[in-house]
Amino acid sequence: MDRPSAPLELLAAAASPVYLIDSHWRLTLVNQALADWVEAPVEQLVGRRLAYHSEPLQDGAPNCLADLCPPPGAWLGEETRCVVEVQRADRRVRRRRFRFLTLLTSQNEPLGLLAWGEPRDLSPGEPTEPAGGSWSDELHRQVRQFRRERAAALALDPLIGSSTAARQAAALVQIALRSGCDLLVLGPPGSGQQRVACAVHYADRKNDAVLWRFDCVGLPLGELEHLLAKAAPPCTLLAANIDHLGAESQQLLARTLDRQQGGVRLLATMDTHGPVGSGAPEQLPLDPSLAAKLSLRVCLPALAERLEDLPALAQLFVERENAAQPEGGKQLAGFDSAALQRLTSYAWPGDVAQLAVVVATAYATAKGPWITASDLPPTFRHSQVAAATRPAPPEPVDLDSLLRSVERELIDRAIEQAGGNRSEAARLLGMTRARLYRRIESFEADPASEGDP
Amino acid sequence: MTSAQELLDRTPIDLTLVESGECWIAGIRRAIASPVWERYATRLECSPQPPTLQQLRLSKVPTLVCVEVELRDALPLLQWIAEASELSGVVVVALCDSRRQCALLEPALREAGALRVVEEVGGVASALASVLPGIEQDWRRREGGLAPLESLWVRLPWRKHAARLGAGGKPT
Repeated sequence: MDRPSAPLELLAAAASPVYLIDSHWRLTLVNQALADWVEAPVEQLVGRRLAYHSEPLQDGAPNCLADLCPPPGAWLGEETRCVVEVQRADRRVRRRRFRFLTLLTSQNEPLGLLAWGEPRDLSPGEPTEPAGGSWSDELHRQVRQFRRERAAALALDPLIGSSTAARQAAALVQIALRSGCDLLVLGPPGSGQQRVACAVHYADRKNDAVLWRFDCVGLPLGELEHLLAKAAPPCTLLAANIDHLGAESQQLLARTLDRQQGGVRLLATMDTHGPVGSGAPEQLPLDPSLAAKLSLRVCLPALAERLEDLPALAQLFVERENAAQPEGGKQLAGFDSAALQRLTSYAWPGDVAQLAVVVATAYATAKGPWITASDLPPTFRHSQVAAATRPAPPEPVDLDSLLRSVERELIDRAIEQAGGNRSEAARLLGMTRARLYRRIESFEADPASEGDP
Repeated sequence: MTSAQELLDRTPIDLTLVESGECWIAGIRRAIASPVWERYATRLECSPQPPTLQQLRLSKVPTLVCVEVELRDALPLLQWIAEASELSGVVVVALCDSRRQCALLEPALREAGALRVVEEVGGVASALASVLPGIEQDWRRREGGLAPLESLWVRLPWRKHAARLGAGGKPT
């Protein structure tokens, strides 16, 4: 009988499932035994990229490209073993032990991985963990847990409320959820555009896509190219502040989306500083091809324009703080009416994000069970008085006192920075040691000038 | 020597490097020594632990946290990045010590909200420089909410590290 002799032929003819992954995570060799095991033709597998962070599909065909991902340790140059699980078309799961061997260059850089499976499946109930060691892929488990937590935690909370503006925005988001199309989320800074965009991604239950988030402010073209090359479909690109992308970068993004033909979804956010029209593309600083893709737009209302939603939002943030407490820790009921009145008297320049910070700060101060007006930061404690009072004439500044307090503060900081070494502190302050000593003595003689406002 | 006017024109940044060893500090120091950082009043701290969310919330100036990523125990770090990066004025840059680790974790780090993922010490300078415009834009927006004296105070150089990071913080 003729037996294959070339190395690749040997691997291809082996009865055990074997596959080879290059450093770009692409399958470069798949033998027939592996193809039979995952129930997919060899030609459909070779050249495909493994998607490590893909969740197995809830519905539809098995996703063996995620299942065949090597454990993280395999890329660290150690021979690694783990159990690979694949789901067959009849939805039964097959499990088999695999060994992963790293192929390294002389510079210790990984060239690829050779994966070699045992010739038989593990039977149901057969332990997957060897005695005294772990076969499990701990990092993979942790990343999956993180994604599950994110998917559960990210809801459309910035749009909670019964105001007309919130309900209109929520209705548009629902359209985006149902259609799965690209979406632009606009809103004043702090109104939760990124949170809404993330929630849209996670709310798609069929979604097997990885979420690639990036901020377009200051993003160089080269880095965008690098990022888009890595974001293989299926994936969702979340481009924050998309209007900050240069023309060339916007065109590159539009071309990439065209090339992927639906495999990549674009969710984008943009800050608005005033009313935004319902959306002729030319009104937005976007390349026409990109603007056309982002024809579905949701404009989040400013919190100041929907203060009737504030109690519900504030309560949501209180509940979030309650949930974050350790077992048996502080639990607060919410805001009392006086505190809520103070909150609704405020203009909220930082929008929902500012409300979240204020709630967290008040929560930390409050002794409970209710958050009262006295637990609020000073700005809110005085907001009603300020609103009812005419603007006072500008308060005069005692310049000598101010300059002296700044000088004292700087000297204190310099001494601390120098670890108590006054010669070094004098050098930092650009003065002689003798002069520094004279200044310190003068402060000690006149302790009235205090630092830190 | 920094003139008073230069001091007042600068954008203050609290830059916190979170690492267990001293792998990245050289790259960070080289980065902030470059001319692009001259427009910023940068106060650098090193800490083995990330700042708490409450510390980040209370900060009056933009905070840039460069956090070293380790393969082991990645979940708490991902959770921290997800929460910290949602705070206004906080930017998180993830530092992975090899391309291999990055290949494994980059999607999850980006999903959590890390603005940049740096693969080697040599890449720190360009990554940090690229997040500066966003930080500056955020600062311009927030600065209007500060009282004039606070606005002056946050620009003064050198951080009061003991008060900000607790005993674990060390000056750099």
